[in-house]
Amino acid sequence: MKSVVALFLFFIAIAAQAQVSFTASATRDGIALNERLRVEFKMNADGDNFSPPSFNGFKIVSGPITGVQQRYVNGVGSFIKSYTYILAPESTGSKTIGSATMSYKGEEYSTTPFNVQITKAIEDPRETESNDPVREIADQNIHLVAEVSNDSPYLNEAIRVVYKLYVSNNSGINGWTETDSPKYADFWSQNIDNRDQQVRIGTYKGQEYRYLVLREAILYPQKTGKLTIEPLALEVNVQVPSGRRDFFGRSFMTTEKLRVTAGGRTINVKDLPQEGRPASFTGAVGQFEFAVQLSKAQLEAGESLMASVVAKGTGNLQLMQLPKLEVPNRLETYEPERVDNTTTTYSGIRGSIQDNYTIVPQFGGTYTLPSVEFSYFDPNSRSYKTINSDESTIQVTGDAVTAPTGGTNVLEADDVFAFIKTKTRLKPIDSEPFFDTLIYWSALGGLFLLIPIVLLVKKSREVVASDVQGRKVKKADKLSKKYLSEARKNMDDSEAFYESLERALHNFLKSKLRIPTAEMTKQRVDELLQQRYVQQQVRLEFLSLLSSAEMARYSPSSKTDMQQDYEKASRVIHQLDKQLN
Amino acid sequence: MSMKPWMCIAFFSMVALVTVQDDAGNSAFAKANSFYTNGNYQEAIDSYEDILQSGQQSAEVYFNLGNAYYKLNQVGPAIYHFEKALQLDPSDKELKNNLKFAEQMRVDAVQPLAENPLKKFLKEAASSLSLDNWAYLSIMLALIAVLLFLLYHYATTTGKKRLFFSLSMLFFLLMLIAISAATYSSNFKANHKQAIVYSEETVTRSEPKQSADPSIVIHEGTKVVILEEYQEWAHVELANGSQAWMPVRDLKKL
Repeated sequence: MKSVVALFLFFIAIAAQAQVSFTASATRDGIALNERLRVEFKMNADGDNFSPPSFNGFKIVSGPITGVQQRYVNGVGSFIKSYTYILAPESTGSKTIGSATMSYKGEEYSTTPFNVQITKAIEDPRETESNDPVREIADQNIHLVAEVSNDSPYLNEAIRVVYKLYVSNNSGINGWTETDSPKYADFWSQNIDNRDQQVRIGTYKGQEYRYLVLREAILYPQKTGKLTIEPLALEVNVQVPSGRRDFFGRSFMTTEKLRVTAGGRTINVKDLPQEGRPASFTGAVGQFEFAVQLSKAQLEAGESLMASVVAKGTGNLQLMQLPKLEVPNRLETYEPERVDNTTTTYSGIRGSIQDNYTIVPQFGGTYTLPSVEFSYFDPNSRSYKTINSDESTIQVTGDAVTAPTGGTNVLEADDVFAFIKTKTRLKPIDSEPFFDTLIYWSALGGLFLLIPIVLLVKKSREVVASDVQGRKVKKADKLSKKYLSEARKNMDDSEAFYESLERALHNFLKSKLRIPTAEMTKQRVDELLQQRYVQQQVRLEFLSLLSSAEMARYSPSSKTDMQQDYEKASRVIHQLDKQLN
Repeated sequence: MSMKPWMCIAFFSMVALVTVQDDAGNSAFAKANSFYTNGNYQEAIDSYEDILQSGQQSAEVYFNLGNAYYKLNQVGPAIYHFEKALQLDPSDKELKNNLKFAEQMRVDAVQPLAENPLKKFLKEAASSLSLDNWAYLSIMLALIAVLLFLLYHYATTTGKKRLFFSLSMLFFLLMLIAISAATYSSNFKANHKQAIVYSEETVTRSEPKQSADPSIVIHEGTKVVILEEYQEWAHVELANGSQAWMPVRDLKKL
């Protein structure tokens, strides 16, 4: 028991007396085959006779780099002597770095061996160059950070990505070049111009840093799900202490190139809610105002006007579709022209887009442009909103313009669409056309038949009329035959002739006037004939015949007288017969 | 003599029947008109179609039907019914005016072929009256010509005779013109089967089969002339003279 306590005390004594440490350290426990390992041996005393271990399985790239650091802080001095090797592994597997030895005041000190895992070569080796101190400083002092305004936006909702380069107060950079620009696959991106590159003061992980905004972009996710933003990589010129010091003990700064990247970011994009999605929704996300504007509401036919469908506000203006303006067919309309009046700002794309329709009314009248519906998703209120533009009316006056077809289809300026008819006379649908029917042709032919018919009738009536004359002549002949036949027979005997003539005249009058023979005196006959309005000449002739018949009883007459009296009697009888009817 | 009262009764009962039918048709017409006036164009269309279904028609019914279809922006039926009305009453100004409006609404602007001006004038003159009106006119003219001829025959002085004879010959000539116009329009109707495209858009083919090369695309409301029909296909000619085959079901014959 005693011996054990004695041994323990002995060790303590050694430790107290020595106060010297000699350690070996490597930057990492495991490296890839194509990477470099930095091994540092440090002694806090000014030892001698440093002998490195045999670096089996490694090739010494550089070293030993000897460094001596001596400090006095508050009267307490510290001293470090270091030997640094840069090693390149030769094969994979677990490699042991053996112990190095060093002597101090006759004492031998050695380091503890340690293992290093060598893995297969990797694509992007770190520390290939021997700028290890720079790397270390960079890891602590320089940070490139991508800040995203919203990790889980809606589809088409604007998010902002800012790349900031943080530099700690005890190091500096002078310039950088971009080696990898960030790629925003599945995003629609718009870079924000950032001209005023001013260094600002900010905190990063609780520490004060100077920072610089390198890049700013507005992104509109175009796909749902997890999307990654490819990182930004920079090569930065970093000023680091070289380890050497000048005459006054200030360390020299060397400029080293350092590659820094902002890690890739993953954005979780949410789909727009299906619920309550209006039919007129075409993908607009943001806050908008919407209207249909006319350049003029009153114009002459043939002039042109501009109808603008305008969406104004903040959101994915350049990505969304504007609803179409339904222009009446009668108005000549050209394809709309898109006018983009947007700017990219801190909060997204702002401004207005509009579709300008050029409309040329060809004919007078009043036209109505129907209301246009526009709907969008408002990510702030997480709901869909719909705006209906007002109906607008166009008054077109003036003369009509010839239609471009050049046809007969020209409307007069005062022509309006006529109202329906209020009265009608209905006819059976299946009525045959009147033309070219039997009735038609017989009606037409019948009319022309009328001409010969009428002419024939006229002729026959004329014939009948002429027959009446003839009959009258016949009747008169008959009469004179009847009454004068006896007188004619007695032409040779004057006395008998006149006797029979007188008798014949008396008989004729008796039968005509229905009077008895007793009343047959000359005066009586005269009266009677006058009452019947017989022509005076005929009456006088009749009376002269009677008196010549009377006279002839006493004085015989010549043959020619008889002949004349006979003809006279025949004529008078005939005329009296006419007039006494 | 005993036939006469019977005939009178038959005549009057027929007149009564016709007037009863007329009244029913007219009240349906008035009802449809009130639908139209109140803006219920679809109901108006249904009512007008009912009148046509009942076997009666008039230019006014077709005109109003065309108006109602026009108000509903149905170009094809609108033009069809205006054309139909125009066949019954070719001289109505309002009808021609509204047809122009409907033609403006259709998609196709077919440039008509330049026609021989004389032929065009004759055609227009012949189609300025309906066939029946030409027939009635020719009979009227014939009557006047016959009467004038008879007057000539009865006239006593030479001056009158000369006047009546030349007037009679003039009217006889006019009658012949009317008859030839009627014959022309009757022949035109028989040989010129018109139709209106009813489908919104039709691709015409160079041959009467679906797999044939597409020819021209024509749209609703375009007027075509059917040259011949073969199975389900019609060989049509447009006003600009181009010819193609198209399915019969896309057409409505006038």
